[in-house]
Amino acid sequence: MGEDIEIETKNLNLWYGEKQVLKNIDLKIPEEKVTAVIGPSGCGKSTLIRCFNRMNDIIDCCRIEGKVFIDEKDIYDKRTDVVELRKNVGMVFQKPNPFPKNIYENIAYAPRIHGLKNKKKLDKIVEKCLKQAFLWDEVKDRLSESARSLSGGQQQRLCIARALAVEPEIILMDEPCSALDPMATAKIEELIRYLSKDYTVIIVTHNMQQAARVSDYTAYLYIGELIEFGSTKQIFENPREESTENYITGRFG
Amino acid sequence: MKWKKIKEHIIYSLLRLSGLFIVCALAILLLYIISGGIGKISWEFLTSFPTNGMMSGGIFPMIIGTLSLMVLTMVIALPIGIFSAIYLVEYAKPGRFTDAIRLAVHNLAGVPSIVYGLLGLGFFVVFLGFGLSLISAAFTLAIMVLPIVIASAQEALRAVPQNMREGALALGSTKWETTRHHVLPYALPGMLTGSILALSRAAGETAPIIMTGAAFYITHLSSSIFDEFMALPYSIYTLATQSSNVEATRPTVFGAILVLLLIVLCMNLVAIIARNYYRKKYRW
Amino acid sequence: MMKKIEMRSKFDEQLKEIKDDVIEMGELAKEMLKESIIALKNQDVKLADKVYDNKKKLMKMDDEIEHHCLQTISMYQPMAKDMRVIGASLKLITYITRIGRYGKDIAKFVKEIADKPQIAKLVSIPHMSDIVDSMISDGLRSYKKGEPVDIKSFCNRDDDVDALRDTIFREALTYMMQDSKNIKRCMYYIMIARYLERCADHACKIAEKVSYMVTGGRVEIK
Repeated sequence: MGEDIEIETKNLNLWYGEKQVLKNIDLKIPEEKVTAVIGPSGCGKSTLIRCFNRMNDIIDCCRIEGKVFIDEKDIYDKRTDVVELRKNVGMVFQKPNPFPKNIYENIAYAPRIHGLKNKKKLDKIVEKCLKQAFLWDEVKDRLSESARSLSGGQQQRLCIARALAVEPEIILMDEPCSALDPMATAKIEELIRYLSKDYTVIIVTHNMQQAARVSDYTAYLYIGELIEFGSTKQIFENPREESTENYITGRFG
Repeated sequence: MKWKKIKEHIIYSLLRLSGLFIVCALAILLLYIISGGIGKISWEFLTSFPTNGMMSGGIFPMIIGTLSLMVLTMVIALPIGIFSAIYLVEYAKPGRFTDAIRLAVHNLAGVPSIVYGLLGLGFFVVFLGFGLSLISAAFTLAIMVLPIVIASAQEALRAVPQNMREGALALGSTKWETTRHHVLPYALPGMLTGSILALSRAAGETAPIIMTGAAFYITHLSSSIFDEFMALPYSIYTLATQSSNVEATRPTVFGAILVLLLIVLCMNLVAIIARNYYRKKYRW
Repeated sequence: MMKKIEMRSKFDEQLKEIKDDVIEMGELAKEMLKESIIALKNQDVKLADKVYDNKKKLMKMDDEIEHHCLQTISMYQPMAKDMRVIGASLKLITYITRIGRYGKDIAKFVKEIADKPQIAKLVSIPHMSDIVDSMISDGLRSYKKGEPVDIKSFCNRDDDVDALRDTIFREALTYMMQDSKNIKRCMYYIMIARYLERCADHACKIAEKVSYMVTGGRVEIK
């Protein structure tokens, strides 16, 4: 592949209670590129990316074996500071979930709880993140309005800006456009391509064309196993595995 | 089919009748009480002490007693109830300890109030040595309303959507920061209204307070929480059943009942108004 | 073993229709080329006219298949192999059109030189035409069956066609130098040989595209 590796999983297995959801995943995510994770419903895509910021910890019956290395440190090691990890690995969810506060507070919340109290610095961060998320021009005059007054697409961009506020290296996106209309989707896709210059982006999507448009690398999961990983060009033009071919041509799943 | 239409009409009428029954029952109750007691309500009645063996004078100390009891009960029950609910909803891991807590809460809710009275007497009055007092009664009532407070607090917490918590956690918030900044502000209104409603029921409880501190007749207001006190429910009970001159004390009884009802009604109204206000303020 | 659930049967129907239409168009162009040489050999003006008139049908098929392909792309957004099939089909109809047009051009010449007998049994032109015909047939068959293409065989035949064109050129030159009355006729022979060589190149391109369609890899036939 020739790229630097940001995240590496070794023999990652995950169970929800008795049910095994991820099987022996060995995956290398390249740095500062967009990697798409595709596969049929229920194949474990969301579960996989939630391993990268340990959001699976909040589910009681979840058990994990194997290692996940970020910057060559195993994040499931007992000594890992989960709060620091989640600062470094941001997440954007399927349904936009801005806090029921105003726009400014949504973004200022995270830096504030991590210790930044200086108002001028917070103002700067809010402006920077909203600009990075292509949202500044639309909201700069109404930062004190409720975040709920924004449209769905704007709310999602706000959530992205919120994730950027703590300066992560990695951004996880779990089907970020599935609740949005085509125009809002196009804006977010443009934003993703722009973000990949500075951040490592991992996006879960069940929209094949979106994965082809937006990503540099693609991983295909089927029933918890990693079937194929490669450059997006190769996967969508000439996949190696029959299962991959069947999935992306819509012959099943 | 004409028979089907007739059947529909009959059932509809029966259902309306039962609704009407409820309205009538309440109307009769209120009319009976209001007609009997409205004559007695006056500023003097509400602010003066009973005199002449309760045959004349006012019900001031009972009102104060009931109100202080409510406040004290709330001060004890709310924090314990809310923190328990937060633990059960946000923190508890499935296991035997959590199951034990849930079982305990459920069972507490089903205990008859007279048993609470005995509990209060045995534990707070005698064992801890608080004696017959406001504080013993308050603790007893607090334990009694605890299940309801916990239940409504749990509901309010569960009503906060999970994606709020996830959004906060994903930004690197700790569990407590998430709970404090993103769950509690939106659950608190629901918790409070539920608790106020629970308390308004407790305001009328007689059995537990008889055995833990309510007195029939004391000449002065209790000066500390370790004193005995007078309360509306108990006074109503004794006046109605053990008065030496039933005719003379009847107006006082009706007046006291009406005042008690008004207190309960006010508490419920406060709860409803608070709920509506917070619903508008914190829209999802 | 995974179960292949045919969830895209309407799409598969479209693909099949496109492939069938491309084959039909390919056969038409092949026939136009073949018949133009037969008309040339037999100096059959009527046959030449028939070939010439087929040009309209060929253009119509070109437009229809292209439209069908574009419509399928916009409606179904095909991926991987499906995408390569559509891509190959679009390219194939271009090459097939050119082959057919060369057939038409050769048919036009027939009328010019039908008045007098041919020279030296048309030198090697019929032989060249047979090789080109076999190349087109093989390309279309591989396309129809989705089979890999025998690259080496195509290379060899292409070399043969190139060699034949040189031979015809030299022979025609000789005849032109012998008798100036032969110049017009031999010039046409040289041009026809050139057209046949171009058709062989197009047949090679067809083979390359079919190979890409089947394997996903690029080859070049030189």
